[in-house]
Amino acid sequence: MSQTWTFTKKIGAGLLVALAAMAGLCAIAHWSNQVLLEANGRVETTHAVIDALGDLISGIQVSEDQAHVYVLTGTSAMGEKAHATLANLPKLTASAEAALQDGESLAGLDELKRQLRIESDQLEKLMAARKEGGFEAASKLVEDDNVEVVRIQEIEDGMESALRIKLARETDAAHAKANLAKWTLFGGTLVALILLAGGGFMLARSLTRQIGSAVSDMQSASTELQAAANQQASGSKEQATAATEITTTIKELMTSSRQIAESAQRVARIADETANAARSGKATVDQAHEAIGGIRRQVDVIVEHMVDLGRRSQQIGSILEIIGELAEQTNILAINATIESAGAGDAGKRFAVVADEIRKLADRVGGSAKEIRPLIEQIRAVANAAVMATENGSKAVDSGQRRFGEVAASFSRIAESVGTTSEAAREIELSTKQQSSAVEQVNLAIGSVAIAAREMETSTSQTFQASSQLAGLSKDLAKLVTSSA
Amino acid sequence: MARLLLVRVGDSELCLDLSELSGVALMPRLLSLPGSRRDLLGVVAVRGRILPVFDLAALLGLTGAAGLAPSMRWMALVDDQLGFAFERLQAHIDAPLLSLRDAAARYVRRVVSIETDQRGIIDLRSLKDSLSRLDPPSPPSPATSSVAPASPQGSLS
Repeated sequence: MSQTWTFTKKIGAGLLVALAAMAGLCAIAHWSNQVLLEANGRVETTHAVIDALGDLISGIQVSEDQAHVYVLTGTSAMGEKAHATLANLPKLTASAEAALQDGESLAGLDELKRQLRIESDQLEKLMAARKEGGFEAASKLVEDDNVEVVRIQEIEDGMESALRIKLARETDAAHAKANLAKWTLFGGTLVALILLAGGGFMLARSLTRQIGSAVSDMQSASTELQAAANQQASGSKEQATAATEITTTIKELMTSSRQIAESAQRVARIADETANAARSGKATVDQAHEAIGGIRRQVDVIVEHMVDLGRRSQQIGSILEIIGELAEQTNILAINATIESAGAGDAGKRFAVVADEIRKLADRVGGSAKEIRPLIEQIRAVANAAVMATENGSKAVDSGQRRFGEVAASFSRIAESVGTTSEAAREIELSTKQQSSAVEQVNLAIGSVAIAAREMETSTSQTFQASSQLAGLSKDLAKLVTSSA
Repeated sequence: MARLLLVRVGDSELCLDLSELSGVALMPRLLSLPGSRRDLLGVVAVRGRILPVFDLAALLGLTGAAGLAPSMRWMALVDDQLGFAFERLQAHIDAPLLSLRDAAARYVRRVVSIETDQRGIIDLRSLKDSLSRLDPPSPPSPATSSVAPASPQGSLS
């Protein structure tokens, strides 16, 4: 039997088997009864035919007796009785025929009916002769041997013996069928009992096994349920404790959220002030940027002037070199004039004085030129240094201008960043307020959770008790199902 | 009163006597002569004459390698017959005759005191005579180096 069948299916299947067995037994009994009834019917029919034949023979004998009495006595009442009895003979014949089953024929019945008609006709003639001619007419009729001897009793005896033989054969057949029905009923009952016993055994074993398994599962489940209930109870306690701690933490979190909101407000206010200061600083930097632009233009003019100064100093140097060369040539001329004047003797003394003055003048010019040259070099160096310094200053001004531009851009970015910071601080403030509201809701929810945890703890103890009761019930059920439990 | 020219010859400062010179000139275009003496720089055209020009420092043994140096811009003429090249004309000096003292070197016979230093006066006549005799120049004597120390400072008065 399948393990997946439910109890209803199994019990239904067992009941169906029992019903089938009982139906089989009923069918067998019905069949046996039908067989017996049929055999009995045949016996009874045979008995009825025998009885009908007996009645018919008795009627014939009674009618003969009454006709003989009427012939002897001439009593009309007796004659009427004889007529009535004779009139009743066809009915008795019909009763005998009716006793026969459909399609069954009885040998000798037709001969008997013919003999009955002959007998009836002879009796009617005899009574009619008595009535018309009196006793002598009737005696004469008998003496004239006008009366045919009938063989009714002989035929009836033959038919009865045949019926008796048939009756005995049918009785034997009925006994045989009765034995067959008895043994069939016994065998069917035995088979039904075996089927019922086997089905009941299998059903009991299956149910016992399944119920035992279910009880075992129920016991383990109840044990696990107890353990789970214990764990759930401890978990509920821990949850309640945790909920309490969470509530405390959430209160602290609410406090810190409020502090954060206040700080965010302060940050927003300071950010606004910083934004104003950044805008003011940007305006100042823009003014300084414009001033630096003016300085840069002035520095460009200075650079041009200094470059022009350097160029002019170079021109002075060139002229000074020419002067030096002229002084050198003059000096050479003066020296040569001195030499020539010395060669001229006394006539050349005055020329020698002039040449000496020229030479001294050339020396002074050369010395002055030599003195001027380093000054010019210094001027050129200073001019170059001034140009370099001015160019550096110009570069520094450019750099400063760029720096001021960067500072202005930085101030703009600072202003934007501060604006963003202010917006972020406001958003933080708003978010913190929303967070505080949410935390309050969470606090309420945690309170609900704590209440639910306590309720769960209570329900868990109830679950534990129910599981304990379930374990006891499962043990009791196991004892009911298996003796070893 | 002796009229002298303070000149730089090689690395030394020496004096030339104006009375021995026929002129002073910047070095004109010099034409070198192949196969000539080491101290003969070449020939130049001055005042319509072709004159030989000698390296004064090489003649005096004040430099190791003879030859026209780019710094040799000046030339002193003697009797309008030859020239002596030197580096630079430093100054014109009028020295009292009493300040001159004799010297024992071959081409420096006198020295003059200029402030605290003494400068040798080159004897251009002796140089000319020796060159005229085609005498090879003698190596520098100790007296020449002793009376002609190189001292750029104090040479200008």
